[in-house]
Amino acid sequence: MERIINRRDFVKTFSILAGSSVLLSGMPWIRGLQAADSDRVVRLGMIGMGSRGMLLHLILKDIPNLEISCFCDDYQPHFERAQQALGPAARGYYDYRDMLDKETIDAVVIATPLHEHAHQTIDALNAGIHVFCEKAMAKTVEDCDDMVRAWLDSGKILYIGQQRIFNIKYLKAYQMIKEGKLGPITQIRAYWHRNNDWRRPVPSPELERKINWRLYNDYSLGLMTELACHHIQIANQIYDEVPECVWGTGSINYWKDGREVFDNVNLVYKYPGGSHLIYDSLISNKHYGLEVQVQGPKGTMELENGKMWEEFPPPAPGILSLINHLEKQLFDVVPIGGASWVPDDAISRKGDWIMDKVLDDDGTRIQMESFVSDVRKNRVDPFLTKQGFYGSIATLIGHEAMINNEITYWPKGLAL
Amino acid sequence: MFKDTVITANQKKTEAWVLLACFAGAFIFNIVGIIKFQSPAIELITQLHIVLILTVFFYILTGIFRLIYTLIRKIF
Repeated sequence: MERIINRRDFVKTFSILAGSSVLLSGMPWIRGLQAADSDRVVRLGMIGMGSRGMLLHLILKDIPNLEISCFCDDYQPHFERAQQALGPAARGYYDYRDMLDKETIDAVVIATPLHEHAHQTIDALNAGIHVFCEKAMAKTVEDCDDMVRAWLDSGKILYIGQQRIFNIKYLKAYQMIKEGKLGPITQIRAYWHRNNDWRRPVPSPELERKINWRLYNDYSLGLMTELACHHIQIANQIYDEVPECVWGTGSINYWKDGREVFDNVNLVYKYPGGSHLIYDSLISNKHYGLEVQVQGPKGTMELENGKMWEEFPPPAPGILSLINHLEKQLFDVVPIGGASWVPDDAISRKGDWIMDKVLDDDGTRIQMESFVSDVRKNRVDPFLTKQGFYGSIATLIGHEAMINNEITYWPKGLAL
Repeated sequence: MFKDTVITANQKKTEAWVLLACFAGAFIFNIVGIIKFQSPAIELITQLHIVLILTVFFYILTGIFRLIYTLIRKIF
């Protein structure tokens, strides 16, 4: 397999894929990457320099004509690590509001704990600054809605970190699905399994909630907002709809260590027309890893794997069919009474690769290049904000369904 | 230790005919497959590699039968 490592390779490969008009008309957000950029230097600030923030920094620092002029983090070890990585020219702040007040920047990248996303995004947009905010959008439906209203009022760019939208393997699969290779999609199954406690080392007990914020309800909704929202966004994109309703259940059945968020979740989302997304996630077994299985009457795709299986593959050449036929006649056991029931065994074929190229990341690098490019061109793409918004709302109602133990419907009138 | 052996022109001719017969058999096998499974006629050409593999298989098979036949004749 070849590897794609940067925007140029991505655009080149995408242009080959875009031989189909369906691909371009169905993916307007890619056009920004295809159009040439000016040399204007983009000045950027970063809010949140934890592990995700540092990863984004590693990607951003390689983008030409981009200056990371300031950063913000209120945790001293992260602040010092960021200052060292960004160099003395980058000004550091402990309060993001100070940074927004004092700095002249085009955009901010927000990679803070979930409960901080809403107010930080809204303040930045109100200050006339473009925003890239990590997923999920926010912790409540109301906060998500407020962010979208602020975005609409500002006329600025708002990206939510749903990087699979920029993963070329997913784009190719999306194209094939839209061309009807699987037939109408009748079901999507997705799962994300790990086997670890999801904890980070804490230097002193009073920092437990600050460091391990993912485990506590005041800061995060755990597996739903940190993992599930990626696959839920993909399901929305494939169905080109938002779910009508969701039901599910979750619990803490293994990591009983004082955490408040579920360590396993199981949900069923119902989409218009009666198709479903079946989702589960747990952190006490990693055997199956993560996957998104898209199923239709003509075939199945595994998007993380990048593979496809046709339900009815083209027949083998006549000579091979004849050899197989004779082999079966000679060596197969013939049932005396005749088989009245044939077991529905799983298809054992190895499947076909969706494409013979692979990204060196999951789409994050291309997503950041797209964000910077859009900032430079002042190009607002509603699709990306919409995907982040709808993906987050679906994630939040899934959590609500599990907490209240009842079918939860899409909030009435909530649309972009 | 090793002694020289001679393959006569007649033996060579026989082997060539056996090989040709094996090829003809494999080719007919391909035609039967195409008719039985309603495959496109172009497989007469595209599946020639399988026909050649089958030819070798048939040739080895006839070799085994001929060896057994020779051994039996020597014994009795």
